[in-house]
Amino acid sequence: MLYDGNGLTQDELDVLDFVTGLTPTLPEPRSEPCEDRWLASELTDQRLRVRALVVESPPLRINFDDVLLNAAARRKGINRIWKHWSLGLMMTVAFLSGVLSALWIDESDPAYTHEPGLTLAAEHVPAGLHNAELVLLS
Amino acid sequence: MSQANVERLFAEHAAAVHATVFRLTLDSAAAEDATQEAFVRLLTKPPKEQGNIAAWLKRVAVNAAIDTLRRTNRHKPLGDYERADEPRPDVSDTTLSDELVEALKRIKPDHRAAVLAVDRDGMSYADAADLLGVRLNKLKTDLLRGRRALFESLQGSRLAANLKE
Repeated sequence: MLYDGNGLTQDELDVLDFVTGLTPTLPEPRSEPCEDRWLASELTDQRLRVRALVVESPPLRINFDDVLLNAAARRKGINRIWKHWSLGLMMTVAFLSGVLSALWIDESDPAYTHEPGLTLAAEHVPAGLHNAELVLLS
Repeated sequence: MSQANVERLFAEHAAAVHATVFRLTLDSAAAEDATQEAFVRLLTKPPKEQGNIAAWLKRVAVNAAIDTLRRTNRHKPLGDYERADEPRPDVSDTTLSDELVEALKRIKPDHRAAVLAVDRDGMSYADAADLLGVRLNKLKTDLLRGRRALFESLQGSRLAANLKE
């Protein structure tokens, strides 16, 4: 069966063109005949009925102010979405920079390894300072 | 695009855009919403090329209407046509035309638009595809399926009996 790439067979395309009035006679099937081939005359008649249908559209009830209102509401919605996105982005960046700085801490630094360096530093601190201040000094 | 420009374009093209969408969807509410959507988009996200703005507006509006109808499945129930607040289309003739309009409203919105564009308005495949913003192959598929769906939708109606005579 020949296909047109979109699922229509050659025979369906032939019937389509015939019913549209592009070909005066329906050619013999070049591939497996489609169902519509047996309805071709009814479909042609139906097309003529549709052709004769007169439809007049009702008057347009919206005006330009409606368009402006809708556009303003749309812009407000878009701004709100951007606000949420930028807040989320800032939080993500803050979190990631925290994680990265934690990973990049120099582990050989005695201040983070509780090795003698910290003890030595603490030894040189004047008496009476609290633990938090000790950490800051280290 | 400036507000003044869009206002001028609205005055020039809104009625034509609305009429085009209504003729292809037969749904006045969808046609109004879609017309508004096209001009809102012109204000907020205008096209880069503004050569044929009327064609762009129609394409955007028709697509918006078809999307809305597809989302809401408005083509399925027939009741939509009977809503009191919706003006019924003025059709040239009688019950047969009414039956045809009702049957058209029962088929899928993209199929309906393809059938109305080609069979009622007499557009070429290429022009209809351009207006509906679809590829030529998609237009042909919609047209074939739409005609068949309309034929089936008319089964049992007086018009169907006439077609078989």
